[in-house]
Amino acid sequence: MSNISGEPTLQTADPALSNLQDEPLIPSRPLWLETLARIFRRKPVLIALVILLAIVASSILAPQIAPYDPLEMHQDFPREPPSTRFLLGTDEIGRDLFSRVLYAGRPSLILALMSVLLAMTVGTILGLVSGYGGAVVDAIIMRITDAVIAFPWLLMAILIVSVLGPGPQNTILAIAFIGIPGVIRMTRATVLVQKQMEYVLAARIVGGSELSIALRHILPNILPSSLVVASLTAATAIQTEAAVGFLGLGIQPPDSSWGLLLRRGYQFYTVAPWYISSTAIVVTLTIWSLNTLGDGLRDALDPRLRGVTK
Amino acid sequence: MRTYITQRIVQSIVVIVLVVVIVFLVVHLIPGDPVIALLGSFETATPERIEAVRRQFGLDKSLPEQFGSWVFGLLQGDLGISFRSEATVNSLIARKLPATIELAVAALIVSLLVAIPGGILAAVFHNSVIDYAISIVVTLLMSVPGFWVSIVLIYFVAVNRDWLPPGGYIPLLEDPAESLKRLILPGGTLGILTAAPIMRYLRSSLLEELGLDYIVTARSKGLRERTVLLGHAVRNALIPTLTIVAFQFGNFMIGGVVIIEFVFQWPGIGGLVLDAVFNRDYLVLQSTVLLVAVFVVILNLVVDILYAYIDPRIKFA
Repeated sequence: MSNISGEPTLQTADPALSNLQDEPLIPSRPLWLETLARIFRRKPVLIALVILLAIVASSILAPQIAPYDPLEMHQDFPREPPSTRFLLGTDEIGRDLFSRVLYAGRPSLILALMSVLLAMTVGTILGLVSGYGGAVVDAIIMRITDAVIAFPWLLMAILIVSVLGPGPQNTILAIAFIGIPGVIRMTRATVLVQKQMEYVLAARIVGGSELSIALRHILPNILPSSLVVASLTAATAIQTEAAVGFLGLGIQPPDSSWGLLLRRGYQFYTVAPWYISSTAIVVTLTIWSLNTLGDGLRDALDPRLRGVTK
Repeated sequence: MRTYITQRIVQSIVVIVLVVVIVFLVVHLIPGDPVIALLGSFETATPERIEAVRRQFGLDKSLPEQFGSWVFGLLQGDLGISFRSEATVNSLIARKLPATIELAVAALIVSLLVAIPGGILAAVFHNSVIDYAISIVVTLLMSVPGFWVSIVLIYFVAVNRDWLPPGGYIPLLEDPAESLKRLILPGGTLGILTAAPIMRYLRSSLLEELGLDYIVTARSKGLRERTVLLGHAVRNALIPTLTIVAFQFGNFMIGGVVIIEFVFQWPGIGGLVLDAVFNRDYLVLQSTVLLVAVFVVILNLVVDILYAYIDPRIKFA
């Protein structure tokens, strides 16, 4: 993605050259600050971070922010369009949708977080093993990864959720399972690059064991790419929860989630289009923020990852 | 070249075998008894009857035996029998496939019609308002839930006004005009949604090409900018984009079909999968999902081989 900051940039064909013009050769600030500045120099990335933080914070602070109890029924106001009294309108039995969306964000975001953590842990371990474990192990892991990727992700999610039954834990497992192949591929690709680096050779010369090289030297170098993959996987996680919930295979009532709200809203879309749309807009913003953050991180931390992750 | 192709074919066969195993294992871990789910609706689930049905569908055999007979059938092109309707899975798929193929082809055409000009525009006017506008639309399209886009479109075009029917499928040969009219909304929605990543990829691929030396050469020969762009840069940029198109088509379009078909009441493969999930119709589910995954593997194989022919550099990569 290109910068939208509106700074005049010289039309050089080689992107590496235009980078040189923007960045002083010797950074005047500490490296981490320099990196942060580079990530957020692009306005969309900054906007994405602000939106994401706002959504996460308002879900965490739902009890403080929500104008109503999400279960309180205003019986005289069923299916009210958005107004100053009900910011996003009300549902079929007069519950305030703004409060409901805030509260539903909690399970959805936790679900995304848990499945990303699970996918990252399993995927990183398998990726390390694959990149480090020799040709046979590598081939086995990679072919299984190929086989899992051959399933369209939504079909795979539906299949797993229907196998395990609906509910939060099973949705987490399904989402994590979809994310794992991407993490494996990324970790493996990074390991293969890092393995050839001179610092690894140096560590080996000083007598470091393969395991300690993998854990102490290579693993930390995977971190930047992991951040990228984690945020893109989180976006897919929110998307999957929404789709699976919409089809009625995810979290079940009386629990709530964005996917479930979308499903309920769908039943009334002809008479109360704001019902599904209010949730859908929040979901879209969340996914957009995560995608944009992931892209921004990738461009700032490791442009070589383009094409590997998506 | 030949070794590369042989290698890719062997790889794909291994992947297909793994896909078969994964589908079978995943589906047979389903908790809940399909026979009880089946008979429960008729309230006739006596133990004898359950036993009879179980024997009829081979569910009394051990897992390896069930796997064996399923694979044996697959090799003969027999996908099994539906527990629910007692029709063959082959006939069910054959009945549902035309609708999905029509939808997918329409979506593919729309997505190429949107993605190719969009990607070229964004690259040619890169860092301009056009580029930013396109990139905003692309990132939004990649983030928005497909079913909501469909519902919004249905609401504005079909519910609020009478411009287009909100869904329902009519075979193309039965009534071409009405059929195409009904195809516009679902095909257009799915097409535009899958266009976004293709557009994005084409843009960066084209930008890369435009920075290469042969473009400078072409320009200094005095070729018109249009020839340089369309005759040289775009042609080369489209080659790697082909892989993304195939991946999008296989993965997102066929996966997205489940949701789009649900919302537009399109009687295709997506609906077949969902019905099978809700009815615990093992064989329909596992055979349909298998067919889709195998299709994706073969599609990617074909594209990779084509790619190797068009661009000989690939075999060294």
